[in-house]
Amino acid sequence: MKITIKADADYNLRETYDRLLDGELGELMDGSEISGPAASSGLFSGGKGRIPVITITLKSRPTDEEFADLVAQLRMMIGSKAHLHIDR
Amino acid sequence: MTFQKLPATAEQAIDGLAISLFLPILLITIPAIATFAPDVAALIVAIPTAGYIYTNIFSPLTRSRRIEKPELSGLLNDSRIQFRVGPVNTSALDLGFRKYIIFDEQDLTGTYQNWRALLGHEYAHLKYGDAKFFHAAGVLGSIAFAAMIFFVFVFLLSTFALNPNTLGSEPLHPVAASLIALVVAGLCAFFILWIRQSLHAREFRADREGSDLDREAFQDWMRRALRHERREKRTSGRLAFSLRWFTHPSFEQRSAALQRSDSVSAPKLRSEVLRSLVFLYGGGALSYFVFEAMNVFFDPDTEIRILGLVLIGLMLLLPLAAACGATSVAAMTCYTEGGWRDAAKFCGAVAITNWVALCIFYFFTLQAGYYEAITAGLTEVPEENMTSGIWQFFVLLSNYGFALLLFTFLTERFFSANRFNILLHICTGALSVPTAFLLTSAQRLFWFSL
Repeated sequence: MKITIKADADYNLRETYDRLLDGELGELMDGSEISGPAASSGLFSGGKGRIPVITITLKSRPTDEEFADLVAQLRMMIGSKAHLHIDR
Repeated sequence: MTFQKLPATAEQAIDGLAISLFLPILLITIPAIATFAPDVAALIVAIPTAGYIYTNIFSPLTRSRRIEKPELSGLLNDSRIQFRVGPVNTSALDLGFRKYIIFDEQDLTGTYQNWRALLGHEYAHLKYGDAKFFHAAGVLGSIAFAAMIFFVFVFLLSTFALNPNTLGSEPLHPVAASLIALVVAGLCAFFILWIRQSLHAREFRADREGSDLDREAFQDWMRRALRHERREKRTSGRLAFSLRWFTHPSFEQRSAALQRSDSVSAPKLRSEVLRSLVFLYGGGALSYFVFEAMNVFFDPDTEIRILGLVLIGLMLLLPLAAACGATSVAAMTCYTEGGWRDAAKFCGAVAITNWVALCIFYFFTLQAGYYEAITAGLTEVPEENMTSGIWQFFVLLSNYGFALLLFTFLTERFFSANRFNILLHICTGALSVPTAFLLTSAQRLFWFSL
């Protein structure tokens, strides 16, 4: 099962990505693959790239309850600046 | 509290001189392109300049809003920095009359409070003039890059297509054309790589200052950035190419440099001498190249106005002055790091390596003389092909080394606060050459009067 977090406009998902990697969602994300390739920034601007998309591939299929919990926490984390796409 | 104005460092002087060494290339390449394609020449200058101004000045300023942060001013002990915040990358912007630190919203108010790590880092960029250097490097570097691509491409194309109307009055021999294109491309590439190593060195220094301000926060930030970079490398095999490669070192390099923290190693004599030689011969080659290029591209019949004469003089002399200036800076660096002994060693090394270069050149000139004689069927080399002897050049070079040392002493004595000022070194560097000549003449008079 894949969950894709897509950022609106220029929103940077870097913080969300770090929080996910730091295990903020705890057991819900155990064993999942989290990937967040950085988009190259514009000409001349140095430093870190922006992360526009995070892809989470869940290892095991969660129960409906667990899944609802996961989605709710993710929504709280990303606020209104990004969307979730769920691919069962 | 006023903005701390740090005196210029040796590194800033060398960077400034490398840029002024390179300016004549741009000053000749762009007009050369303009003689046959004025629109393109204008675009080559305008697009990178406009692009830079938009991306690095206009866009960050308009997309951010001003905020008052007295506690940050207090942390930095500096009240002249204006703080801004917006959905932009955290950066430092120096407009001379005003200096900004622009924060990414997420860095300032996010979970990780990245501003703690980045404040010291961005302030260092302002303190050491990195932000200003970035303006010069960004604009000139990208113009050089565009000019190089266009110039080399069109130059080679037109020469090999033997189109006499495009460049100069007749097409150059393909070998000569390839050589010129190679030299131009090589000099541009060298310049661009030079800028890159300087930008990276400045990033390492800014990292150290960021760490000094708040070690824990900085290390935490570095850890997360490093983690992300490693994961990206694993998944994509290599770091995605972007202009990040140019302006910033990788986080692997940055964290390694930070751990080393024995920061500035004393400049090795060998590398200082090598660098001064690169400047000297590069400067000489550039001057020669500019001179030849002017003969090729500019019609000798056109009237040269006074302004034109001044510009031409500048273009020929600037590389040489910059080269001498760089040698002078290196002498001062050696003195600052190691005292008179090191400075004397450096000046001696410069003289000796130039002797060696002269000998090699003399040897080849002799061989060329022999070769020409042989191919012309002569039994011995005609008098006019033999160089008149090189002993006086040895003396001249030794005197140059001495003059360099003398000027280093005088600079240290009278200008010790501004000892790495660029203009000062262009002057002393340039003055050491005629001084060497004067000394040589004086010595010759003295010997002959005995």
